[in-house]
Amino acid sequence: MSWPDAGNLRWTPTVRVPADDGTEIAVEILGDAHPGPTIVFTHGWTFSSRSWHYQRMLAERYRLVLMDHRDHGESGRGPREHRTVDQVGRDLLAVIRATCTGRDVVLVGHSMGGMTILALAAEHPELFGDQVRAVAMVDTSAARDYDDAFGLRGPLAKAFTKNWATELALMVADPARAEQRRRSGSRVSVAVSRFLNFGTKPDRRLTRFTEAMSAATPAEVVGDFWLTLDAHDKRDALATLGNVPTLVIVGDRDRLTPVAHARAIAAAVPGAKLLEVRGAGHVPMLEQPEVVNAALRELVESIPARTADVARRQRVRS
Amino acid sequence: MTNLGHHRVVVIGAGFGGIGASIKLAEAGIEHVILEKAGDVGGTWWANKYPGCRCDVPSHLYSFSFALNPDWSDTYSLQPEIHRYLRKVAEDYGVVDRVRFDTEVTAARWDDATKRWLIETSAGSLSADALISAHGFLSEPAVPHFAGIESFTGQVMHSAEWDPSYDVSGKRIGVIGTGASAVQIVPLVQKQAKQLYVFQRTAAWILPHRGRPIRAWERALYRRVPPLQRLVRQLVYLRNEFLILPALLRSKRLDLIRKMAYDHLEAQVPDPELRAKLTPTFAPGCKRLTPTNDYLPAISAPNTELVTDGIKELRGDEIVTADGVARKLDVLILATGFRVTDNTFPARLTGRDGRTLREVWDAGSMGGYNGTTFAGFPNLFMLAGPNTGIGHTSLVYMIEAQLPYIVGALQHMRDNGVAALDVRRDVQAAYNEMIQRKLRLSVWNTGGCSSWYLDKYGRNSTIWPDYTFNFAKRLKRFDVESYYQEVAPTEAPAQLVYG
Repeated sequence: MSWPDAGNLRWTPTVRVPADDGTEIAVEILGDAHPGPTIVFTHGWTFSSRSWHYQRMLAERYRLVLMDHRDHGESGRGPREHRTVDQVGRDLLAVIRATCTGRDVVLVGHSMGGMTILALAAEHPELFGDQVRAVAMVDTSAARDYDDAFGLRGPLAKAFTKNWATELALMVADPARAEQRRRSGSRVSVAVSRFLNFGTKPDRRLTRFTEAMSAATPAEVVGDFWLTLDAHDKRDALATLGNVPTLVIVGDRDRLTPVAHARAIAAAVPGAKLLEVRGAGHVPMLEQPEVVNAALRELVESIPARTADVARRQRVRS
Repeated sequence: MTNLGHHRVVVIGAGFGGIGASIKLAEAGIEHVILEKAGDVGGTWWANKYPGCRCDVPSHLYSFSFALNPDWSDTYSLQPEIHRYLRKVAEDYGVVDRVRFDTEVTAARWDDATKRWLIETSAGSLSADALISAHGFLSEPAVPHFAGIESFTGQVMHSAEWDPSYDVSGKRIGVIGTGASAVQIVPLVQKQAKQLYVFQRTAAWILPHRGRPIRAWERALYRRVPPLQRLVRQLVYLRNEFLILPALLRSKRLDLIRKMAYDHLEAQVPDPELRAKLTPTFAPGCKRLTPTNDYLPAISAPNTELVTDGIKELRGDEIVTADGVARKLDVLILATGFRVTDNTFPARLTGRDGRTLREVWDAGSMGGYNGTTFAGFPNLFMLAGPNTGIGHTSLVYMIEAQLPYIVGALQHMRDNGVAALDVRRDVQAAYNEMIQRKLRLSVWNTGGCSSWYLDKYGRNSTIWPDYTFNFAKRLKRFDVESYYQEVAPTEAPAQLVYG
């Protein structure tokens, strides 16, 4: 599979699904002819569905649905006050209803996408075990840990954390000025993106792509969603994931949602499996796609047959 | 059934593997118990008591690296001395106190609800967070079935189940097999036998044996200057790695071995007709090489007959071969080796989906990851597992290489509150592909023999196909990224789970 292209992030949606407030959610459907469960991918903060570049090859075997969150990528702009994880969770539900009627669904969420799945689980626990048959949580968190300092220590940690908070506050207060200050595509910007997102020795093409993807997300959107992530606590919804096979994937060098977050999720979700990807940072699906894809394939294959299906098959046999 | 309680780790077997594991577990502060079916430690070196039983790996190499023995009396040790060594190590390191003797594991089942192994033994049931199976590479005698064996009036003894009280002198003896144990038994029983018949299916490659007693002054020197023995050990190790292994692995320069064996045969067997019968038809190394200076003379002795016709049946006190000839026997010795690729012990281990390890292996092929772990069998670690065998050096080296890996896994579990570790299927599959790719040109696969290295699918599932130091390097660090972890719920903190 070729490298993702930093210069060409635009794509043409297969369908545009209207959310409950009318905002259009851009959706791409791949491998539409495959029977069996559909894998629905939901991306992380400042990213877009293009972050699943290497998971597209799963379309050889499965039907895939990739969505851009509202105000991200090709999706439409929604009202500012609707930029919350809870709303994105309702958007996910709209997408499932519009594209996966009568089909089993496997949810795969990265970072904020994982929190989106938890938001859905909080509002619609009945879906899990019914239409939703398995969940993969990739480098995500159930609740913010205010002690996290991006893996930094001492004065550097303090300085970085303070700067981080200032920048994000500016994005909320004065998005236009924040946009000017971002200097997207610059060396510093790429270096910061690389520092935050990647583990050991990432390829330059990947770091530039990831930075470009984040840079395409307006400052105002970045800032607004940060506020909702900062207040995020969906620990109560974790038990719901216990109704389905749940896979937790984390890069062991993740600075944004460190291994401890993944471990906490795995501990709280009954029967969850945890996979630490060695050397990967916050984006193992881009850094080590073969590991992530193999694990996703195994997750899909591990879905227990429905009792009704079993009964039907037995009838066919006899 | 008596409840024997819960342990963090249960180790099955108190041979080289179990003793080594216990020492390393104790060093890491991991609570455990060893279950041993026999009444003594030693494993295969306790069980095999047949006359002349001796290790064909040099003494200096055939011991734990952390417990060298300066007192070996021969460069190739006899069984009683190896057993004494193991007994002493087990006592010195306090292992004996952790062994539950006369306790045979009859079944062990992974319980997904409690994330524990539930173990049934001849003495009661117990449970463990993790299971280390050191049941042994050569632990289960392979007993061929002959028609009429039930009605045979003579004594039948497998080499691994030798009755030391049985006196062979003046008896008519039959020996079946020409492998590693047969070449050791034959010379000794030949001297005492009235008549000896050796039943040979395949002639073996007999090499000159280079063993010699270690002199008293050498032993004194090793005792005073331990680094010297370490150096000798290292030299033996390197010689075997770089001179013998490449030949076996790529089937090259085998002519040297062939010539050595032919010369040996010519010097020891004057009769050309007998020599022809004793000349192997496959590449040397395909079956385990058998060095001995006494076997061929014993075969040529007047009271010995080498029988190459297949065995048809046993009848009363007679053994009948395919050509119809009947020979009277008092005792039949089965030097027929062990069940390796079809060992039945894995049938006692039941994994996550209710299938036993034996069933999983029979459905595909005997395989695992790093010779140690098996997808679908969480928290199970096997010592001397699939593809950890070697034909050129000491298995103790391989066992020792596995120990830091297993201890590393258990430490990871303890430190991170992990309740279960299950190796990724894709990782295990890729590993086995790598192994089979490397074995393709090896003498074990291409040498034109059937051996215990190959399983029923003809796949080599026993041999490690690389330098053994590369195995050790691979297993030095526990690679948690190759495993699915199940984290213990936080309500029950790690300290509680691991007591």
